[in-house]
Amino acid sequence: MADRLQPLTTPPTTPRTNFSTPLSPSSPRLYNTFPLVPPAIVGTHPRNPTRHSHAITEYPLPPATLDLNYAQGNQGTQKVLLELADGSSFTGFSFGAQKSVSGELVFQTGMIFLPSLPSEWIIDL
Amino acid sequence: MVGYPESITDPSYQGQILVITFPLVGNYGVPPRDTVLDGLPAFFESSRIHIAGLVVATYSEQYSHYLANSALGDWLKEQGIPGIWGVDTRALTKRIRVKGSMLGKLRQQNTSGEIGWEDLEWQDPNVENLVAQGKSDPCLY
Repeated sequence: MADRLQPLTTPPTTPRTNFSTPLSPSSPRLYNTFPLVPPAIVGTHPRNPTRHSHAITEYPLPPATLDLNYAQGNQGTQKVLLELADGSSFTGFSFGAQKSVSGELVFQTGMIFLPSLPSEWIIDL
Repeated sequence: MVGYPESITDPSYQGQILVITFPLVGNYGVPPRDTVLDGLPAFFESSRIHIAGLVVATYSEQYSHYLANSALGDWLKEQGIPGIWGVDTRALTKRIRVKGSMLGKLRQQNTSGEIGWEDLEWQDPNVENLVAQGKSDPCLY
C-alpha cells in the first residue's frame, strides 16, 4: 500500500510531439501512456475564439483519481484503444469483455447516482 | 438521474458507446439480475445491457452495496460488452461537445502477437434500423 502512495513521475510540461519513436523501456514515463496519439486542434468556438482553445489543445492527463501504479501492477490488465472519428485516441485499461466494437459516442454528465431503491423501501428504512 | 446499472440497460443507448463523466464507477457493484418485479427486471431498465461499450475514468473492482452481488466488470464480461477505464472522460466529453456527435471505436490489443490494435469498420447506429433488430413478437404484460 505504501508503494502505491508514492508520487508518480512528474507530468510532462510540454506536449509530446514525436510519437513515432517509442519510449525507452528503461525510463518508463507513466504519463506518456495518455493518449497514444496527440489531440488534433479541432477548431474554436464560433463566437469566442479563445473560449475552447485551451481545453481542446491541452495535453490530456489521466484523471486525478487514476492510480497508475495500481493499474499497471494489476495482473492481466489489458489495454484498450478508444479511437474517435476526428482522429484522436485515448488508451485505457480493459475491464469488460475482450472484444472490439464501434458505435456512436454519447456521454452522461450526471453527478448524483441514485442506486435502485424503490420508494417503499426508503419508507421501511 | 440514475446510476450505471440503469444507464447501461437503457434501450435508448442501443449501439452507442457510453462515456460516464462521474470519476468513480463500479464502487456499488451490480444488483441481482434475476430478481423480477411484476414480470420485469426489478433493478434495471431492461433485461440486458444495451450499450455497445462503456468508457469510465476510474473503475472500482471492489464494491459495496446491500443489493450488490457481482462486480460491474463481471456483468459486462458475461454480456460480451467491452469496457475501458483510465480515460479522462471529462476531456473526452468536452471534445464531443465541441465537435458534436462523434463516432468511436474501442479497439483491443492484437491477440495474434504483433504489436498494435484490432481494427474494425466504423458503425453508425443512426443509419441502422434498430427497431428491426428488436423483439419481433409483441409482449403483453
